[in-house]
Amino acid sequence: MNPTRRERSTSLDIWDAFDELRGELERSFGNFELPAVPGLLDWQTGPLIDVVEGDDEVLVLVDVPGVRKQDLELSVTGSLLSIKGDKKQADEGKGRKTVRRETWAGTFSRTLSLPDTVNPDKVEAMLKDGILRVRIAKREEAQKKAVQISVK
Amino acid sequence: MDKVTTQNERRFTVPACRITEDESEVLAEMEMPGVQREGLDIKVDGNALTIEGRRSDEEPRGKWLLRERSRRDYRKIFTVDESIDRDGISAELVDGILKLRLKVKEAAKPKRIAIG
Repeated sequence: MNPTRRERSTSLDIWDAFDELRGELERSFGNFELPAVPGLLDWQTGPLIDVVEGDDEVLVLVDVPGVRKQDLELSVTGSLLSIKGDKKQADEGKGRKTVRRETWAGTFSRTLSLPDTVNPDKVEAMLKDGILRVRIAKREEAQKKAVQISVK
Repeated sequence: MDKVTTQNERRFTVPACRITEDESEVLAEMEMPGVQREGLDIKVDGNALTIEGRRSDEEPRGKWLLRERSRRDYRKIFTVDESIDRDGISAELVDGILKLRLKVKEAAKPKRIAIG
């Protein structure tokens, strides 16, 4: 264990533990093929999200297939990013017999706690191919990695 | 490690799917966020209808704070029965959803019998 490796404590740090666990599991069980059948445990009721912290920005990726731009609502308050939306069921299915349904539809809302170095004034969002990308710039003083150490 | 790498490349995500039908067609809607038209490969071989979708988004660099999305390419194999017209399959990709329409053969459609 190298105690200097962890840079900063954020409220999202708990996910590191899950990532490590997942890494472990993939290393241990990587040789097994998981059944490629969507089952009950895969049922979703909200979009899946990735958050990546780069050197000068934080990137948030949200899977929102079939959601239109006008049905999405984003807001940033301090370091909290709130994503709301309405995933509407395509009308075409109406009046037809549904054979199978694994997709979900309806309203969703998720709030993410981002590192406190983000600048809430510099946010860009783009929707393409069913993926919402939100880029939040970090504050300039946070972009520089140099740390000053005072010598007593 | 070679073996592990090849296995990882072969693994796919099964896209969430919604299938509806009426007398003349079957509509399969598959959620494939991140796939563009060029990344799609749809083929019919005998009774197997295979849909593959390659993701076009690249892996972002940095420290992962949250990771829920799958990064694998998509693959779904349907078995289509004799009632489906192999030449009447059409596909449309909008906002990360692939809509696949399979036409039911004329001979397989229910026939109304008039009572004389």
